[in-house]
Amino acid sequence: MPHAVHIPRVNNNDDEVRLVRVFVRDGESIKPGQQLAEIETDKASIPVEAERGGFVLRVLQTDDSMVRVGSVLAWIGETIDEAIPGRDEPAADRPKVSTAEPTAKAKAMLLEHGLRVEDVPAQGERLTVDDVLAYLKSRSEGPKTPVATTPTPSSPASAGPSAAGRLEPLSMEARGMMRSVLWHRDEAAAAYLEIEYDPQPWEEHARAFAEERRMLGNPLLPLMAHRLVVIARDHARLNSTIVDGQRFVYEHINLGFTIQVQDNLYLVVVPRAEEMDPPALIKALDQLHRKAIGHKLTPEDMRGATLGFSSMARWQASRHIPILPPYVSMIVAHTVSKDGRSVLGATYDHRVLSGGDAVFVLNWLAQPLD
Amino acid sequence: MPDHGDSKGRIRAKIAELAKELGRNASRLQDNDLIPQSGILDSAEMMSLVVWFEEEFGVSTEAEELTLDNFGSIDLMVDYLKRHG
Repeated sequence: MPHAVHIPRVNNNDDEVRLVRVFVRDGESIKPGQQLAEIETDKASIPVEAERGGFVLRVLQTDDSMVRVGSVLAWIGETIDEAIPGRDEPAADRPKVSTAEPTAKAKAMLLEHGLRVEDVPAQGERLTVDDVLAYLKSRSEGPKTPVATTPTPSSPASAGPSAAGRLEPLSMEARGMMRSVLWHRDEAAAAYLEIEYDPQPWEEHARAFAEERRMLGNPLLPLMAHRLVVIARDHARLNSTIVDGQRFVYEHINLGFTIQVQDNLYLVVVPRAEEMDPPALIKALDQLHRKAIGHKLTPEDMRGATLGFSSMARWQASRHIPILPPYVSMIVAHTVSKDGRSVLGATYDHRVLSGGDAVFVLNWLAQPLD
Repeated sequence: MPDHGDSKGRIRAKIAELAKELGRNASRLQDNDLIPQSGILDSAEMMSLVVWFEEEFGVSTEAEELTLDNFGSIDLMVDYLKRHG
C-alpha cells in the first residue's frame, strides 16, 4: 500500500518552509534513509529522508517553492505500479499523517487498538491520547477499556477476526506475496492443470550437463526453466498479459523463479532470459540465489516477471498450485511426490491462455531440448 | 584477518547443521566424499554452504569457481581455502 512522505515541521512558528530541492524522480527506486529532498527555513536547513524503501510513485512538489508543513512531498510504493490513493485530491488538503513521537499513554492506546503511529494525524508536535481518540471517533470506533498494566493483545477492529490477538507488520516479502495473491484473486482468471511425465530423459540430460561442466549443483530446474523460456520465445502469447481489455505482449522474457531461503519465498527475476543460453541462465540464477541467501536481494531483483517457474520437488509435495505473479500468464509448477510421481503443473491466466495452450506448453516442457 | 583454524571441523559442523534442516544425518560423510553425490545436501543447501564458507573464512568466490573440483568435498574446500584464504 502506498504511503505519503510529508513535509516535516522544522520550527514551531513556521507553517511553511522552502523546498530547496527534490532529489528523486517518479519511478525511482529508493532505499530506507535515502535523502528525498532538502527544505529550509530562516533558521535551519534539513534533509527529508525516506523511512522505508520502495519506489517513488509521484513527486508532488517542485524545487525552490514554498510548501505547507504536512503537505505531501511524494507518494512511495512497495512496487512501481501501485495506484496512488485519492490522487485527484489536492495534496495539501490531505489529512496530515503523523510522524510525531507518541506520548507513553498514546503509545499504549495505539497498541491497544492495533494502530500505527503513521495512521493517526497529530495536532501538535507529539501524538497524544486526544489525537488517538479523535482518530477512533472519526472511524466510528469508540475507545476500548483502557489497559492499565502491561500491553495485552488487542481486540481486533469490528471487521477483523473475533478472537483476541495482536497486529504485526508484514515483511517486505510478505507484502509482495499478498500483492500477488490479491492480483491472482481479483484480476486474473486463474486456472490450474497438470500432467505426469517421465522424468528419466530430463534427469539424464541434467546429469550429463552437470558432469561435463563439473557443476556443484543439480542444474535440472534451471534447465527446465530455460526450456520454458525457449517455448515462450517461439510462442509470444505465453509471454503476454491483459491490460485494459487488450493483450499486452512483452518485448522480453523476464523469467521469475522461486527460491526458498529459510522462511522467505522469493520470486527472483532474470531479465531478458530469451537472450541467454543454459549456462548463462544457470549463472544468473546462481547469483540471485547467493544474494537471496545473503539477504542482499534488491527490489529490482524481484521485479517485472513475465513468466514463472516454481518447484516443490525438494519438499516432495504431490501437488502445488502456485499463485500467479501479477501480469504473468503462466507459472509452471514442478514437483516429484514421495511415491516418485513426476508432475508438471501450470497456473495460468485463462484470459490469456486456454487449457489447451497450457497442456501444449507442459507437454513440450516434459521433453529436454535435446 | 579471518580465522582459518580447524577449517575442516567447522565445515563439517556446518554440513551437519544444513543436513539436519533437511532431516538428514551427515555423520558418515567422509572428508573426501563428494557431498552432492552423497545426497546429504541438495543444490540449495550446497549454495548455502558456499555462501557460509565465504563469510566464515573471508573469501570471495566467482561463479565459475563453484565446481565440484573446488567445493565438492570437505577436503577440496580446505584445499581451496589454502589456495585462496
